[in-house]
Amino acid sequence: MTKEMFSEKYLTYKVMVFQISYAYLRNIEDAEEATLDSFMKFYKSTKKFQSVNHEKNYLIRVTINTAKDYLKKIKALPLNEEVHGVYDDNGELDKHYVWAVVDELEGKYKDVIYLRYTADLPYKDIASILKISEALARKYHEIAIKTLRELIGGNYA
Amino acid sequence: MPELEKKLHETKTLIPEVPQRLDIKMEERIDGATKVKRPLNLRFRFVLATAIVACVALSATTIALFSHTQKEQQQLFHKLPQSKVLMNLDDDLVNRTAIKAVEKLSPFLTDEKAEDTVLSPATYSLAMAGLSAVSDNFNNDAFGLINAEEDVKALLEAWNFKFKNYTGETFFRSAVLHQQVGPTYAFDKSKQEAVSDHYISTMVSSHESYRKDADKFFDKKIGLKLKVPDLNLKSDGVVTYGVLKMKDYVANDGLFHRHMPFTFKSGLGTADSYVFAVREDPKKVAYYRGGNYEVFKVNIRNTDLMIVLPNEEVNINHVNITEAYTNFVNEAELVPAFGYVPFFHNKVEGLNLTDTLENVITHNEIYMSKLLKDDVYNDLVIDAVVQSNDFEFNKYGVAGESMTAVSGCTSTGPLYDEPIDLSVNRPFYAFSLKDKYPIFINKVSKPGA
Repeated sequence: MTKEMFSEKYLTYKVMVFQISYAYLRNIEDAEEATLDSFMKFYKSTKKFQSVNHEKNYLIRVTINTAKDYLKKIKALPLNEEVHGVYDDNGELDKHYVWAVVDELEGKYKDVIYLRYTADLPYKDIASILKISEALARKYHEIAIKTLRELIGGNYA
Repeated sequence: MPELEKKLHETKTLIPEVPQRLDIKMEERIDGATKVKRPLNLRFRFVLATAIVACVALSATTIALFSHTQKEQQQLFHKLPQSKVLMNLDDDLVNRTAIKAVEKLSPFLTDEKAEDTVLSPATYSLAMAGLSAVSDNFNNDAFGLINAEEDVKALLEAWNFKFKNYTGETFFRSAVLHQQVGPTYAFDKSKQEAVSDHYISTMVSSHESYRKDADKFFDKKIGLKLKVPDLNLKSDGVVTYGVLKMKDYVANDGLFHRHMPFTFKSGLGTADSYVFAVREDPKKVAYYRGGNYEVFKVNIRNTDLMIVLPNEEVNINHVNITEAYTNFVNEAELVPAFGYVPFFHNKVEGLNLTDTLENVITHNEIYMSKLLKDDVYNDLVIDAVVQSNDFEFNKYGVAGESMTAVSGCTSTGPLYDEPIDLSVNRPFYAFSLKDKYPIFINKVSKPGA
């Protein structure tokens, strides 16, 4: 990949890669480093891509793996200091709280939630990235939502 | 859109904007990766060349001082990605493969129903790593693996590379056979060849003939005589076998084979024993004392036998084996001691570990698309883990064979003035170790029987 081609890809995907990295790491500096590492792996890769989508999904897979490697190094997620309660000042479910609850999910379910809601990906792409069937990706999403409802409780149970 | 899903979409707004400095850092990294290295100036080149010559000379002198065995050890491990697991267990991260395996398997040993028995954490790790290496999604953390594909290669290489044909010396031989059973699965030969390189052999077989094929493979590959256990597969599935054969001879360095008095609750008796020191000249052994047990290690030649000896009057099943192993590996001290270990032989075929490993099994699905045609997706759950083992400690040394189907410690100076009596005269656990990695764990509840 030439430097020019890479620059184009970087500009196209940097927001997405940073968002996925941040979703896993919850720290700007760590997410920044993970983003840089992911792009470097992508840059050095000699893989041939069949389509733009294939290339994008490969980069997402690299990003997830890189973020998970960082998670192992930092060992524990930083506490989400923004969480003050289940409901916000308007009496609605607090989104900081929702995000903190997502952290409680088992890895495979968390992957599906992040890809679905952080990267806005369709099930077909999620399935391709996680190397599972589309039906299983839907099933994981269903289980994740059900588990989140149970964890949040109240009107959501 | 239901409110929870809407809220999940909103969480995206919590992600900060991409910092502007990211672009600059990215550019620096790309420039760094593509920068052409400038030639070094002459003076620096001279200094560098001198330093290299000095290093080579120093290395040559150092290497010449090494004994034959030490050289082999260095050659065996230096290039392996998992060398830290086998050589330097101070590293908590890489040590976890062994600890996890012991942790997962120890409930079977402390089960009241299990009397004399033997397990192999090494083949368990091997089988699990083998399965993990050819699957697309596997919870490596559940098995303490770091990188399954690299781990399985490292384990196989470590146990096969140097010691395969040394008559009268230690040898390890290991193999992994991954097998698809049943016609349900579409099989892609090119993918099979891609993943089988270096470390794994794969074949497709019908349920009826897979055991015969696997028997031949292991017999030919490592000379294993254990028969492949019947898994009683409930349905068509995917099977991985991890296999290990080990033999080590006792060093002829003043250690003695004696017929010793042996006290057991059923009465007094005698047993052929391995005496590792005489009272007049206590030998220093690696030793750790836990709450209700003592752990010590005797050297065979290239392997070790770690003994977990419950305190007198303590039920052997009440000893926490994982704690004993972990604490010994991390905190053992060298102390003067004497004692003996009775010879024993444990053999068990078709040991069903499925229930013991239930927690692991129910939390892992396997996706085999690495081996299957692109249009086929099969999600499998591990439903059986069966192990066959044969381990013997006698006057010649240690020997063991194991098959799993699936599915460090020194300090300087004596810390104890008086030598410790480590006579193994009651039920005990015996770990056969290779560089602290547990190859076999034996529960000997009726030694000398």
